[in-house]
Amino acid sequence: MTAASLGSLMLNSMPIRGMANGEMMNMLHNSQLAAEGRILVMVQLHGGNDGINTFVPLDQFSDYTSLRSLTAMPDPNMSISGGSRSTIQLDANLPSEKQIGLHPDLAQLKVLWDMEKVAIIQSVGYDNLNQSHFRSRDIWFMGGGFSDYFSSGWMGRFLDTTFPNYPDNYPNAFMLDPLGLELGTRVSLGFHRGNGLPAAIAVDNPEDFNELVSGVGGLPPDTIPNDRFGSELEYLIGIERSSNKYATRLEEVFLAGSNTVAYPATYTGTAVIPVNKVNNSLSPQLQTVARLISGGCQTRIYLVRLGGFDTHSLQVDVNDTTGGTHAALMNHLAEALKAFQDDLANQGLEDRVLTVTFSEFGRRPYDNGSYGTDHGKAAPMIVIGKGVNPVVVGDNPSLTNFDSSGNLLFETDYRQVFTDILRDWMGADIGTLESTTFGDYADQTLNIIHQKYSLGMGDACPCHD
Amino acid sequence: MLSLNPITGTLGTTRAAHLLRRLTFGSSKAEIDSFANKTIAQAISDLFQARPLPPPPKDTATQSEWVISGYVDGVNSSSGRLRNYIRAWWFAQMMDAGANATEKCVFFLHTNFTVQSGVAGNSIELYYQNQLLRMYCFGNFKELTEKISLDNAMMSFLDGASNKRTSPNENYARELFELYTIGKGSEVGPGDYTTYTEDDVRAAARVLTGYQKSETYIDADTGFPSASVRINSNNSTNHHDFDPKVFSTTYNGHTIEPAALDAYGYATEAAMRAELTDLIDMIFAKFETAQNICRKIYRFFVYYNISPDVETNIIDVLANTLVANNFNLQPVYEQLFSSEHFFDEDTPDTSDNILGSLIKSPLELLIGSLKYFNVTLPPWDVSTQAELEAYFDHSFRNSLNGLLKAQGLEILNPPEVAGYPAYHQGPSFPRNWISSNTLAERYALIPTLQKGRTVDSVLYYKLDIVDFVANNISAPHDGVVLVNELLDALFPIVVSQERRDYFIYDVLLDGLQLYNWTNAWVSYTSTQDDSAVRPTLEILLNGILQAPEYQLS
Repeated sequence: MTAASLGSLMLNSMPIRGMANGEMMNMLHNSQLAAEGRILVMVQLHGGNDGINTFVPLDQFSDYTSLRSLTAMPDPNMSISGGSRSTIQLDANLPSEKQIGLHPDLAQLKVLWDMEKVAIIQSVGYDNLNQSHFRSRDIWFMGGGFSDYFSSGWMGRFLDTTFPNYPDNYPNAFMLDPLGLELGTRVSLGFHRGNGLPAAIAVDNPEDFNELVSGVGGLPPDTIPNDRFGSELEYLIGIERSSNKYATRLEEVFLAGSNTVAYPATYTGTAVIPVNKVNNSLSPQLQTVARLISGGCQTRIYLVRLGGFDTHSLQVDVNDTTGGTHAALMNHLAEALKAFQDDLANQGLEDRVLTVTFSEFGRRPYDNGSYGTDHGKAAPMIVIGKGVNPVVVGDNPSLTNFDSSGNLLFETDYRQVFTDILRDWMGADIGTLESTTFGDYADQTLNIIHQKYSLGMGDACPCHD
Repeated sequence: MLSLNPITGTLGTTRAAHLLRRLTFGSSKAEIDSFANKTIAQAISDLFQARPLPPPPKDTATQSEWVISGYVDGVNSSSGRLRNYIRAWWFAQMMDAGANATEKCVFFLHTNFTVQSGVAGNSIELYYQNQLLRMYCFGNFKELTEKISLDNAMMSFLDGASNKRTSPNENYARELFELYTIGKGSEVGPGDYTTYTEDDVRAAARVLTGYQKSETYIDADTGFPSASVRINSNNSTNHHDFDPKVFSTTYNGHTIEPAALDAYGYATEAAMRAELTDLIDMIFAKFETAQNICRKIYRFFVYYNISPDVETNIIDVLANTLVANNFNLQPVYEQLFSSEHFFDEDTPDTSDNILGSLIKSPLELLIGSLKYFNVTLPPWDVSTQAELEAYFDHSFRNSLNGLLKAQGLEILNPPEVAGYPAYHQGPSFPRNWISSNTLAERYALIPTLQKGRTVDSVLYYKLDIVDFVANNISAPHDGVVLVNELLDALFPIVVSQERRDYFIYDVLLDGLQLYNWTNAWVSYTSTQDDSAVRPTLEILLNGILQAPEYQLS
């Protein structure tokens, strides 16, 4: 078909603009995605989350306590008196090498696990895991390995391939909203598309955002010189244009949406936590995301962030290892995730949304004498939603067999996790996975996504019935 | 052919404006005109006069300083407010610096030796660290590195005080290599980053064991409080690791150990401190350290992408200058900012021009606007409570500080340990200042400044465009002259005629005729009733300063 012959072709009773054949195929694929409406919410745990205090390896508890003389959770088998806190057994039915004791402030994660909405992937990392925050975070966002230096992020490449000709052909009838949305004021490397405009825009509050954006700006210059000044001008003009395009729409969608639960604004646990860690900064972000989705936002990937995980000192309270900074963060994480999931469930949106937590690295198996832990390597990821296989992928990390630097061994490459999600949850085909640079992982699976929901490999589900 | 040869002749307006834009946070028209008549040697000499260290700020609650005499709970303002007063005090230095590079260079050092006030550092510690940077603003970078390793704010920020022999904490040691000096090379093996290894980080952490914050230990060179050594009842440095610290083959297996032990087998204080000097010497002996520092200077002041050609012909040359001058910064600055390369005169190719190639930071955008339009803020170094509040509270804490934060920059509080993303997050570097939010806030700044800041009927500052035009435009009644003079001053590059026409005919005249504007202005000059000219001029200024060209330096 030529562009001219498309005429006023209708698709899903929405008129489409005339375009070349290849683009037509992409539009059909996109319309499937649009109809499916699959959404991915990335929760960045910034600073390096301590995996073995999040998921205490109950099968190696005595090794655990000797490594962590100042920061170990108390022994759950000791008689608990006076209401003191201890780890929460994730699931008595798991085999011993997968026996996890949740941090006491992850009570809501236990509730989600019992609802079969949680998958845990242990010992995630990559070869030669880099222990610098900035470099490792960049690697996770780039979707590369330890020696890669891409100028784009895997989310940006995925969105770019799935929605071609961004930003010029957008918004359009199939995609009214930004491809990606980051809560906050900056767009992370994850959404970058190389030299062009990032695939996401950053929004703090959609109402304020629209009010702000619609009042300012002006006509950009017509001619852009062919030099560095011109290149920066183009970048600025592009950001302005995309903000203008989306601001009104996002406000409309936000106002049309709603939240059906109260997201906890402060720490709800019972331990002593630092005064500057009381506020739950994840709640308002997930609350905004839920409201946008409920209002009809078609954005595919959201990125929210919880910071403060770089617990070199005072990770725990000096008088109570179940309290302290990490405890507050665990509580904020679990409470916000649970509220988010409930909100989606109440509004019939649960089938469309998958949430994943990730962090740039874990922490060292042994603590450091400042009641904290230093940068480590492998760490767990958590996947939440109705679409998961409610399993623990991988055994507890070994607390005796470390890598050459004395760190926990990694078993699963993070790119396999994201490949499973893009392929099986987001419906990415092999071409898309290759453009995202995950082609090498495309034909393996961790079975994170439940067969009922899988758009990809859909193997038999090894989960509970 | 890239060249660091100095330019010749007097600067002229375009070169003067470029030099001042890059080496200060903003200049007035008078300063630009004055520099236009100078040679580069005169201009550089003026810019690199070190300002004397300013006196400390006073607390509005007590009308006296607290950083030297100490914080009194219940008497002084809250610690959070005092941190904001340190921000305000530094902002005042940036405003007051004039045509002088001191504060821009202090800020450069701050982007390198980061601190996050939201994480660590009380107001007193932040004050002293900032003065330390100012003391070394054109000075010895290596010596500064050694001093800042024991600076109290830095000890707070990167857990230096928790770093002990029996429980080393690597936080500072890692950033010393990665962020502050030699930087990370490519990863050539497990834990090997070419320029240092994970083992080097661990060894350096051990060198740094056994210090603690101190308000009373005064550094003999700086006169500022800095870390003291932890001692036990025998006066032994029992928390310092006295064993040999062996570094990797990257450092030729260099070993650091105390030169003298006391009777109990612990390092003497002098020997312990000497180990730090040894560590700094070791890192700076590698040419990569000088190269990395020069790259940071280049990215901050010149352009954020460094081609192999620039690497060889500019960075390496500057690095050699830095080493030859024992890590004094001033010769490097003078060489770079006097050069044909800096002024786009070393190659005929204009596609790699430096002029206009950097997105301004929020500080340059704000201060640049205030300085050019002669907006005065209430003075800061004053004595009464009302006068102090006029600057510290009404102007800065409750107004300007929020404007900066909304644009993504909180002074002394970058979002991460590596600092403000604009200076470390490749590939975008200064593009990181721009997101849909922050761009809109940068635009919204202009009407906010024009509206000014009034509290309880008292006006604290205002950008008054009518006043500016009346006193600074050569022929304000002439719409073409008016627009041309503003565009020539405010946009970094030569503006095309079609763009000028847009501002003259669409923005200023809005479809009316030039004589309409002339009549309105003439009428204003005789009646002093500005109701016809003020709205028009404010719209014109919004148009010009909300243009993308104004975002660039």
